[in-house]
Amino acid sequence: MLTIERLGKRFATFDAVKNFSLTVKEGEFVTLLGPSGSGKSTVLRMVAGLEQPTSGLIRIAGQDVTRLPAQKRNIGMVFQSYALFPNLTVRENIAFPLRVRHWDRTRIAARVSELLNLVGLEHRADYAPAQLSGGERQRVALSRALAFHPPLLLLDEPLSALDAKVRQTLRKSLKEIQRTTGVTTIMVTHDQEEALELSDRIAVMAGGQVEQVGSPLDVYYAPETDFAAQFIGEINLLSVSILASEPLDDDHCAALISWQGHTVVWKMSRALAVKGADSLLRVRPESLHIDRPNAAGAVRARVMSVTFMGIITRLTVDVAGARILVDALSSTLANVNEGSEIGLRLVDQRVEDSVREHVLEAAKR
Amino acid sequence: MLHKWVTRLILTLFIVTAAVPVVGLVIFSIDNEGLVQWQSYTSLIADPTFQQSLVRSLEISLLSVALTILMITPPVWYGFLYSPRMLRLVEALSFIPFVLPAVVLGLAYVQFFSNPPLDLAGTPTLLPFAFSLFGMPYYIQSVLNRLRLMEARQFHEAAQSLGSSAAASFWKVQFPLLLPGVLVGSVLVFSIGMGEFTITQLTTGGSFMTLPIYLQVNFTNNPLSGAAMAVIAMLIAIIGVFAALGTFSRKRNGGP
Repeated sequence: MLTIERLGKRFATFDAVKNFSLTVKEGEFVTLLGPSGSGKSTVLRMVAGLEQPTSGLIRIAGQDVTRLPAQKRNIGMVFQSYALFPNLTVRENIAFPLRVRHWDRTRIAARVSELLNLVGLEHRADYAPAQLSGGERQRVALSRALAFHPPLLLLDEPLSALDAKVRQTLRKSLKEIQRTTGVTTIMVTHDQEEALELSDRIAVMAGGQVEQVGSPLDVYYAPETDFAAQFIGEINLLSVSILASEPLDDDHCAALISWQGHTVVWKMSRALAVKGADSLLRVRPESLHIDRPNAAGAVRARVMSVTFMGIITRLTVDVAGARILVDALSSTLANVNEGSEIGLRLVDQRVEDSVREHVLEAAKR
Repeated sequence: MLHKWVTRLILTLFIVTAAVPVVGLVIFSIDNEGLVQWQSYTSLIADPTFQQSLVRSLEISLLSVALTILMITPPVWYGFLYSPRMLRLVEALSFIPFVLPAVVLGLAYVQFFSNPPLDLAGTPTLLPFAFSLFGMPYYIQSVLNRLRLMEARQFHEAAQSLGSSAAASFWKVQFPLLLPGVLVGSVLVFSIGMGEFTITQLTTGGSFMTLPIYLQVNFTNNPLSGAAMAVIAMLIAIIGVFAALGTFSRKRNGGP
């Protein structure tokens, strides 16, 4: 559907985007995730045609659009500030792209009410944008961008201007609308939760380059670079040794690893899982489960601090001199205080039981 | 409490200083040894020369406004979005007429336009151009302020991404949003047109009777009718300003 090849953008002496390549399939929801200044918005603006790339190619449905002006690309875009035209009503805003395409009057009216119905704003049709709440404006902007059935939808930080509660609700309806319309979507955000919840795939960006592209689970549980690991939440680096491994697919394998004498089956990249080698494993704090201090096979740890954060409670623990973060569901945490002795187990929920048993069997042989 | 009184004091002082000479002029124009008389107004309004000069001044001023809107708005908008360096240059150059005495421009016009093929001195053809030029710094600033305030770039990009050409974006979205700036700038250009004396005198040699020229001639001959005339000119200015402000606040609070 969309192919971006070796895209580059230079502003004076600053390379905003370097060698960016990405392929997006029909109907896919892909998120460019990165901190401000990572070049993610610049990539989006180049796809929209609002910025000219310095190098590289952009193809939509096989057609090279790199030099095509924005108004000829037929791409829907939702701007961070929505950019609803203040001199037009909600209805007129949504009708705008249809009017410039010279649709006939009845067809426009039908399409506008269809969209207002889709986003639940029929009662706001004749309001001015200034009279709407932030969430309503966002939905109008989305309707306007979808009005002309664009094959590609671009969302530039679509939810960042809203407060937390509204953002949650709109996230769900955004995903729903994307599913029902089936429109191929690229979103830009710096909000990792948003990216994880909405995307089919995430491209983590830093310094104008892609750090990692993968499914939300892969990007979260198997970050390939330090940046990708650090940017999405907290992470521990554990030094483990690889005891055995079984391939799962072309890139991944299930490896039997040992950490401080505790053995567990872990999904990891085949390149890293060399039998007998030592490796640094990136492990999310919630992949460490708390056990009794003397539980068989568990790693002994001493609690250094306990921070209640709502749903989860974050523990900083000491394991053989190393500082490790552990997240536990607050509701399951009893009698754990500073100075407590606890046991820790690694849990990789991505590994199915049958695979785990298979790896353990194979290792015994 | 204190702020309330300070506010009132400032307003009172402002109104008194602004109004005293005006009130004096109004009284002078209607006072007939303690009795009110409208004779200076009625005779003025009945004077065909006055009527003609009023119509001419309105025509020339409106023409100047139209010329300014058509010639200056699109390039300023274009420069703002696509060529900030060109815009900075234009903005800087536009301040030249601001500091340039009218008499210099008037003499330059007379000199340059006195020979064929542009033998225009002695006719009012040059006046709208001159008034446009004099109003330009005010007009550009008021349009630019509006452009900066209304986030023109964002709306232009949105319009483009929705499939609109630059021209359609300008007429359907940008110009309506620019209107308050255009109106304020237009009022300033219009008032220059209604009050300009030096250039009119120099380029037409006094042969073209506009309101200020008539006022000058009339005041010398008949102070009473001159005062009446000044009051009328002031009324026109006040009505113009309020009309502009009114349209603009309606725009701002628009919607159902």
